[in-house]
Amino acid sequence: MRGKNYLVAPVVLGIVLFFLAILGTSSARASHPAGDVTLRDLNGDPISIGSTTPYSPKQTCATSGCHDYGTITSGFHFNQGKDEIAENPPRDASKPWVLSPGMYGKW
Amino acid sequence: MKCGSCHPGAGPAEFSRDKDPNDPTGQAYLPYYDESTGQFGYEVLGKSASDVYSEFDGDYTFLHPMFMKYMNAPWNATGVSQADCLICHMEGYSWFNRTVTLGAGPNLFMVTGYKAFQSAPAAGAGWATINMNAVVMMPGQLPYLNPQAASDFAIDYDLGINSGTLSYDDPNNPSYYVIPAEVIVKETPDQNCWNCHGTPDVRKYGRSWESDTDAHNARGVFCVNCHPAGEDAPDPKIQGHEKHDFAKGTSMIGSVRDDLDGTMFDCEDCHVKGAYPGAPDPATAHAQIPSFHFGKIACESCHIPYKEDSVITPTKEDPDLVIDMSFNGNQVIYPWSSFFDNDPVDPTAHDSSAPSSRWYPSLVLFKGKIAPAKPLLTIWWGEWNGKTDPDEIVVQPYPLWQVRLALQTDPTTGMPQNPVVQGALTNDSNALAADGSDPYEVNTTAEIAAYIYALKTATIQVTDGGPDGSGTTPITKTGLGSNPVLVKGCRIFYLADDGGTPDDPSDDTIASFESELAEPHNFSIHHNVQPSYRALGAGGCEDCHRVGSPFFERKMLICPWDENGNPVYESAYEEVGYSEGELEELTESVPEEESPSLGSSECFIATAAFGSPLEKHVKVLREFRERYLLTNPVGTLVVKAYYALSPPVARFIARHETLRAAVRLALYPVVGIAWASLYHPGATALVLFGIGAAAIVVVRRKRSVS
Repeated sequence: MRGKNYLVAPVVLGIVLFFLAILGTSSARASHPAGDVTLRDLNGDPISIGSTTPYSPKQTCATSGCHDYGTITSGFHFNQGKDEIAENPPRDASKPWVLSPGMYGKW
Repeated sequence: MKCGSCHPGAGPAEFSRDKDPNDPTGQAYLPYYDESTGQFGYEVLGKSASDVYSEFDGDYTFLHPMFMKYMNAPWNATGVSQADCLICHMEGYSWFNRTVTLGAGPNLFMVTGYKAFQSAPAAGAGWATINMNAVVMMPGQLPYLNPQAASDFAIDYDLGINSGTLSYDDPNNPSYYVIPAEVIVKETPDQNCWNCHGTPDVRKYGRSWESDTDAHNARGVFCVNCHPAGEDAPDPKIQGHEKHDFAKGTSMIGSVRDDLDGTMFDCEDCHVKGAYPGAPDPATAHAQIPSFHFGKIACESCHIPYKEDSVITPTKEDPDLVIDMSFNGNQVIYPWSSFFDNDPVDPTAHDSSAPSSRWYPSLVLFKGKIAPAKPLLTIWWGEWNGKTDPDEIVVQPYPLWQVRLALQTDPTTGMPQNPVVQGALTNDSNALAADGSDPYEVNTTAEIAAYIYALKTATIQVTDGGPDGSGTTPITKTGLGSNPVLVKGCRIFYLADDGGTPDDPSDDTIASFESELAEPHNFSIHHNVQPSYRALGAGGCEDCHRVGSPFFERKMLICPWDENGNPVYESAYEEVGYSEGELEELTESVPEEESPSLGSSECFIATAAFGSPLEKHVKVLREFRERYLLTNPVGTLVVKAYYALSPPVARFIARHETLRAAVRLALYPVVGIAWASLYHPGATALVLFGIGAAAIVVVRRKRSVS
């Protein structure tokens, strides 16, 4: 009996470590690899404690060349077809009023 | 501004249509508003706001229902909406806060809207106080802040400190606010996708992504697992680019970013080719299904056999089925339940064994396979160019505000007050609108003729209200066009003969013709995938191959109302090209499973062992059969014998995992020889000859020794 009791602690510890490992890995939506990001306003200045100035996502994320704002925003979710507008010739001859495939310019 | 509720900013939310004259490259567009100069983009070009909206031919305008004024977009009260990174990259981002902020209030919208645009990202991130008493919730509208409220909004970054979404640059000596690294997630959480996609997707497809019946959601699959972006994307068109595009499939509507079609993982990628580790191998479940099914039927047809409300979501998820814009110039929306109860074969019958909300997607041919779709039927008026050739026909829709004016639609009751139209209308609908009412519809010859007459002759008068409603310039127009037509139920209805008395539509003749322009808009269905035990076929062949088949005989709405006001349905077998005779063959008995014809794609044992007829080893064996066996009498005999004997063996193998592994091992050398024979026939013949010769030598030596 005494010998079996000695096994309890390591087994429990093992189970706990196992579940901690699972929990630790399962919630791992990769966070920002470059660390914390300073909030910046429209002019690119850091937002001071107590300020009520709106932060600028463009300055916050793209300042210092961290992210290429122009490239990122050329994706479809941002343009919604604006960069695919075609009037002459129309995209669809039977629907000449449809200028783009997205929400912008499509009717 | 409300576009920004879902639009993440940048692109057309940041820049106008005009190029920046001061940009040396000539490529940059003018921002809508420059806060540093206080100039709107059009002012840089020397224009006024009136100049801008006069450039558009009816877009960016609407008819105010109460003031009956033709309202222009408020170009002189706009701003710049930058790309809001956290709308996708922050778990818990508040779509609601962003939306009400963009709706604006006195603190944000007094002079221009630029402050609302600037403040929306902070509001969405939860770094602002919003006076909920100032939020206006109107049915059918996005929530917004009441402009009359005394206070409604204030940025407060300490809210982020308290919630943990912000911290300080230096905890001991703080100067600035920072976003902690762990708050910025790489993969967009599902909820962030659904903040914007939820409402339109439910309207298009019904319930789409809940864990109670969607097998993928229930197993923890995220949106971005199937629609990866950046370095996670398998396709080089997306992979590695910082341009933020998501991998996508191929849609039946197929208008958006066709260049990215097929860049996402499909069923076969994950379940057969191993792109998603842990995706169940369908081999065992599919082993008893003749493999020609997989060449004719999309996975979704069987694995999304029906859709129904989720018990998790609070609202009814009844997709739009018909949008009627013909009756009064408004969008009268009829949900699926207006035309179907929950029986797949009889739209009016109720199946008490199934949830009342259950509905069965249409089945259509798409890319050579039978695939499920959610149709949307639209009914509308437009100007016809008189052509019937599919390559030449154009029907330009009339702006709905003009239709309402021509019909003299009462803004309160929705009833047309145009006397000619009113006199012809009869209430004969079998369908119910979303609110349960039983509205009128345009279906009889007399009604269509009266409407066409009204649209051709009505004089509409309205005031140009300008962007703020104060305009007084009258606008008058006689007739919306010279050749109005009704687009409804796969047909186009037109005035064929005015009966000799142009001012009397009662003697008019209305004719119609079929046109693709009037066909339903089919939305592909890929979500809400059921687990295998609920798929069609899980209950045996009789799931589909029986009289009253929910597969072949399920009904699809073709026209919401015919001349008598009755809906017109079609069976799925007709839509996918089967004749009545073929339907009888397919449903009166189960087709003989063991009697496939030569040349079919059957390869029973290999399919059972490798799990799919699409698996690469099975494909090699099939190609070998086609090239070397079915091209000579001996090989044909071998194949026939194989077909006669192998199906029961294959079924046995499929049920035993160990045996499947053993058979795979045994088949690898065979596959290897088959592959070599196909692609290196000369070398293979030489090697085989050498092996044979060596074998003969060995046998002879043994004999001589003995």
